[in-house]
Amino acid sequence: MNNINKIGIVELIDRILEKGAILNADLIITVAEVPLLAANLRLALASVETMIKYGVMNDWLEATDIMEKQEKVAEKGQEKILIQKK
Amino acid sequence: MSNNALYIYGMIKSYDKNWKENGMGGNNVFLINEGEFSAMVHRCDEKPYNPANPDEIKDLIITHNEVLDKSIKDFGAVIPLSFNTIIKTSNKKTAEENLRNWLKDNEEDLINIWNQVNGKEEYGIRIYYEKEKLLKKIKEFDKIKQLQQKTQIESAGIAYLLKGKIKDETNQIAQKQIFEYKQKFYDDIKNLVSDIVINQSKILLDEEKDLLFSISILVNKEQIQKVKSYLINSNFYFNIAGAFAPYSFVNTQKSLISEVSETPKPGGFCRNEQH
Repeated sequence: MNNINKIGIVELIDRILEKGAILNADLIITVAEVPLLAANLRLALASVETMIKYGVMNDWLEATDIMEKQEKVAEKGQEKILIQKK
Repeated sequence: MSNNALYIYGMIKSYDKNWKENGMGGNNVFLINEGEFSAMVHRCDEKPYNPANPDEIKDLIITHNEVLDKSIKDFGAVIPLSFNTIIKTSNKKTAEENLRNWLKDNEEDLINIWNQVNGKEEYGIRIYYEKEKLLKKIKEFDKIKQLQQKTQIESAGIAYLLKGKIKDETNQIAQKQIFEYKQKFYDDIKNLVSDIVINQSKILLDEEKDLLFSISILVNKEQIQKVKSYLINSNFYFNIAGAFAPYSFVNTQKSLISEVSETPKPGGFCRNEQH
């Protein structure tokens, strides 16, 4: 899996697990006592990486606008800017 | 008793009694309406989703996101909730009654949030600096060059002490430079977006040792084009990912019309600093 895809997945997982609107604590089932999801973030990411490898998340990745700018240094020391967009 | 709780994905400022979607675990997602807002829910047990198998976590996360994406397509915007938000029964009230009461009690706040996020989407941007290039640049600073020259003429003992001083000075200059990079990027980008927050990622990628910082931006379609144009033409190396539901801009327990007032603070070679 390339770095662009991995960044996109991390951005998604960070948001879904950590952010969003908050409801009153007395109305919801607390997940604070359930360490598994937090502890398994890396496993979840690894799992997602595997799924991408086998094309399971292609639809989501294609629908997601992911781009990056990298610097490639040529042999003669000249710099070239490369824009990648998935 | 099973299925007496409600898993809630998000809220929309609309209602369509016929709207439905496939949710986590194949459950039927439907709308519960109260006043101006409807919540997207499926019925579930009063316990959090907590599978041991990472593949199952992945499936749940992706499905949660797919429901939100579908709602944005169908209703123009969504106020997303984080994964595993489950409304329970309490005080002899059903989960549905609790949800309706919450929607009613918080309608004014929800309207403010909706007005802020409607027609906009969230993107994540990661900005990098090049540590080696920065250190090379600092070596050319007069102060560092002078210290370096002194090490050539002083005794071995003093030269040793001077090398320690060079290291300290280099670190201080580097911190100042990094802060200036952050400040410049932040000042530039905040003028192009509706809102901006600095992120603290829970997942650190090994290859991100030179991460300057990570931000979330709230933008409309015109704004995101300007942001991309700015990034492409800047000296920053970046990743940008989205569009996401506006997870970072829907805090119901804070001021609802957030201001672009937060600015970065100086820091060293740290990653994912919380400001």
